[in-house]
Amino acid sequence: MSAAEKPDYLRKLDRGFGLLGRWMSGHRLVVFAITFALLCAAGYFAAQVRTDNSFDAYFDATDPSYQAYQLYQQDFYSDEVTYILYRVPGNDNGPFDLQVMATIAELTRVLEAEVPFVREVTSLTNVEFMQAQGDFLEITELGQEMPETQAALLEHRDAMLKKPLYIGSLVTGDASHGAIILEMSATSSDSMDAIRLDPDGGDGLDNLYPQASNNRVVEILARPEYAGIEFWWSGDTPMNAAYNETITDESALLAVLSFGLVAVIAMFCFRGQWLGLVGPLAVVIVALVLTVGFMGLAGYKLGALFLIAPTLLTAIGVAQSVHLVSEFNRLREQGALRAEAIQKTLENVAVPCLLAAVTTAIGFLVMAGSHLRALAELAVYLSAGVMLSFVASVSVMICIMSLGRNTPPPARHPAGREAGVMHRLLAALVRFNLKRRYGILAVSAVLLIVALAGTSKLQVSFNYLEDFKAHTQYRQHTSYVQDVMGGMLNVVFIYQTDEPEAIKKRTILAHLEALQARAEQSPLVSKTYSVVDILKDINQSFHGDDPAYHRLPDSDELIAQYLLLYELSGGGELEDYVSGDYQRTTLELRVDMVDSALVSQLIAELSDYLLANPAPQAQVQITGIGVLWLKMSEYIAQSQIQGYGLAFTFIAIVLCLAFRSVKVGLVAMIPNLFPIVLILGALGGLGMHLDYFRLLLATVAIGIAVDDTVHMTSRIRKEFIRCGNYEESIRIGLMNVGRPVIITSIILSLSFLVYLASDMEILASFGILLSLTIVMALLADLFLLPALVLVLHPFGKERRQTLAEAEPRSERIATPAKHG
Amino acid sequence: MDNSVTTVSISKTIAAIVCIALAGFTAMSKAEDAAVDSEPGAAITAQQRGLEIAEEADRRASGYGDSEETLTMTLRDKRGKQRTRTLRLRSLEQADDGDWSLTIFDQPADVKGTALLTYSHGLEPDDQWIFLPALKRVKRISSRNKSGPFMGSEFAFEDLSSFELEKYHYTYLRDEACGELQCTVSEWIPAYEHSGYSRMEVWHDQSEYRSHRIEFYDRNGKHLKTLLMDEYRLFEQRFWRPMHWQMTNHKTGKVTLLDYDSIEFGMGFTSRDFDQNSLKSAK
Repeated sequence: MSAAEKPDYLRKLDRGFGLLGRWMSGHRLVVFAITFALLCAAGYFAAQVRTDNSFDAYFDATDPSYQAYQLYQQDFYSDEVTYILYRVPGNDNGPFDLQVMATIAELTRVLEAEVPFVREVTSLTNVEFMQAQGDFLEITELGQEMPETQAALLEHRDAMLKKPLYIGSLVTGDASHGAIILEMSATSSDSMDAIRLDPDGGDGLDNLYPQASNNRVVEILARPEYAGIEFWWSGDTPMNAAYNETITDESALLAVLSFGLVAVIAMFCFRGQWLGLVGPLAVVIVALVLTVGFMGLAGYKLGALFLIAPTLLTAIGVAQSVHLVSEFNRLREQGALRAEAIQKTLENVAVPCLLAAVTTAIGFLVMAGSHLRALAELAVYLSAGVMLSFVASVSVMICIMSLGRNTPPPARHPAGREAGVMHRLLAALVRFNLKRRYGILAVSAVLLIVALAGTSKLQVSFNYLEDFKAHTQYRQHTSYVQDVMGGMLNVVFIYQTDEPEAIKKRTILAHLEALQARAEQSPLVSKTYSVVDILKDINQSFHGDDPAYHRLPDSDELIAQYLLLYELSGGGELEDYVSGDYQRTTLELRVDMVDSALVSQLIAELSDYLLANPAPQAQVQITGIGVLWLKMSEYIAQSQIQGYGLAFTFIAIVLCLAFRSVKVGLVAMIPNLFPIVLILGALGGLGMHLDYFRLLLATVAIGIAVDDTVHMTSRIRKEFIRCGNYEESIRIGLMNVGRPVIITSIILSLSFLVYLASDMEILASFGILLSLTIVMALLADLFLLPALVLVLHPFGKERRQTLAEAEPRSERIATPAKHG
Repeated sequence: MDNSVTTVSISKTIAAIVCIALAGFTAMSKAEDAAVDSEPGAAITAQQRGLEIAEEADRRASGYGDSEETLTMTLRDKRGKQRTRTLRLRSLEQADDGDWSLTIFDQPADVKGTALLTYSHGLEPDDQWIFLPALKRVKRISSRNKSGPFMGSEFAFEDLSSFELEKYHYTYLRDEACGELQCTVSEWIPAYEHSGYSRMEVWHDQSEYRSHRIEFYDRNGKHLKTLLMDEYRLFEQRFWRPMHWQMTNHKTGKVTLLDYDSIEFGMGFTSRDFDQNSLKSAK
């Protein structure tokens, strides 16, 4: 039995929507009241949604990586830092100028006193410096005993430059730059309650860590007393602050830009018609408020991933509206009364709109199983948002369409529609498709094969520095700091022993020293820190600063006694590396912010080293804020790659069910897969990696692209059921639905170009690729889908073979065949 | 060797606190309810009263001669895991400067025999020598950092160093109940510019004027630590000493306990028991 002959429950659904449309247009005040009440309720819940880009919002509390990091924090506090690099242009002594050193001493004090959530500030002026003079071991801090002459300070500089402990962390090897390290007490994994500066000051970014800390640092460094010193700041705190501020600023900016762009395009496409302008905008605003209201109701937070939501929902809402507006206009132009046009509009496009919404929602929903809480939540609220967009588009558009008298429309020149560029374009398209169906399929097949070859070269990788555009302050400062002082990504190895005091054993520390040396061989590792460094420094100091003794002490006892000496001498830095019970110790690596694939490779190499060389009497775990970032990216990659298969499968199933034919469903899937394979193939071929936004490309694109395919397939199928001829159904289908499909695709692709306005390079590039994918999907819908239908005959056998036979029974619309 | 030396002595600290309490009682008896809070010169009166308490405390703390204490230090992290250290502390009182002290570490085993000799000075850096048995060498060390942790505990060096009048500025604050007793509360502001604290609040009971509680505020004025002292015992019919100390760090959640196993006076120590040679032979 062919698809055309089957009893069509979709037609019943069409009629149901038609009746609903008739009722709604007759009770528009009731519909408006219900919509308004929903909007108010959503507004109430939307007001409760908070911005939270902390790791707490990303990771589930039971996640092993997250738990390991929290355990690490319990022993070693936060590993988040603000790293301030400085130099003094035009001063030969640089940071070691007497006046400059005094200024930095004061700055260190001010930073410690005024920057919120700071645990400790370390600079050249307060770092403990151990130096031997005969039998006298002096532990000094410059700030407490500032040299009286420039010559004495330069002597101190020379002594300091002989100590590897300070090079690359507090001073460059050529002493041209100094650094101030602010170790924070808070972390990005803390709960909201723990990161409010003023507990009653609300959840505005300025009242929250890390923005509150970062803003104060920036404000302090800009004070006139520090003029003449050039500063660059980087590290976890500025990075997280940059992310959070970008999210907050750009969520609103991108939404407004999207609205503006939609208005301009709608004005152009609907030739200034108020319904075309007001309708989609109203739908989008209602849909967005309903979606954020849903987030509030579900207790979700606004995170970095929310950045894509306003534009995405705007595009989807507009696409839904455009189909309704176009159909309504078409019917009115044919002379339908307002109420009749509304009923017929819903009859003709409500089901395809619903199907499109369901398939788009499925595209998002497959990410709901992600290990990453923020991504799972994004999946749910975007899916809900898409369905709410459908509800909003039907209810709001009916309210707006029903405004005005139920009279025939003003007379329009019958040839007005046909004379338009769009009409001529579609007519030419129909002719081309009918003539070149095999050529289209051949070209598509070649493109597909080439693209598939390209996809095999795809690589998943992220770069948290290049997430931001080159002009942004965070990227400029971080790049400079990395160039001068090395990487800013923190990777931590924790040595865990079974009993207190065990970490002082030489065998364990020797293993740590070897791992440290192995890590330092990597060009990605710019600096390493561990208790071994401190022990080597004490050993050297205890032996008259002889460099030959810059080595691990020879016995367990000496190690223990050096550590005791260090504790007795102040030894504040010890607790950064050793737990209070000497059961755990850490090796910290400062790694360049390069592609995450390279960092992952480094971690894999070091993990392999640990497998081949297991630590004696200790287990070694890897954690740290950098590892958490990598883990987050890995989770996104995993869930996306798994999501691809799921999305394609579920959408195919929905299409098969909707059209009650496996063949139709699968044919409809081809034009959706085609653009995605093409874009991914191009990315692979060009050597561009998949970052965490680009990974969303396939699921987002298929969810959106399938909408137009659904509209096209539904209309072609409808025409085929009516006329029984493929060429005719293609002709009428394309002429009817081609216009809204082209308009929605233009709106969608231009909407996603709004992402170009973002300071985040990663989002801008996502926008371009998504726009390209939408354009490819449009081309596939306009060329490939008709060619497939014409060749594969998915709706069953033709009942009439020629256009001439079908002509008299075709729908009463203007076509080039009739009017050309 | 410099004769104008002072000491690091836990016992003297305790004695000082107790004496301050006693002096507080005397001062308060004399001043009765001097209009500390209500009259125009109230701030000055409170400072004078605080200073009188401190001067009397210093006077009462003097005269103990020498002592030897054995104590166990328990370091407990916020997850409740703990480790212990045992040490002995020998002290020799000096007339014109801070006291001398010799700290001998007994536990853990890997630091057994390590000894630290300290000649304490008021606002000046202490003179210190350390003996490491693994190297069999004595090294003179110098550090101005008095705010760093003592042996990884929640006590800073300055918490445990001997009381010297010039180390703080004093202000009497108020009277209030402390458990079943009535206490006076005074504020101490460190004179040492590199102190880790902006101020401290000290509670003494009014019956025996023992110190029961000290709150430490960090350089930013935030409440950093609280020290509680109890299980007081009277020695030599004169010196009240708490046998149990508990320091809680509110920032880290860590706790350090000090439990005194024994305190003895009149040991007959001389300056020869506190020189560099004594470090090597300390057992």
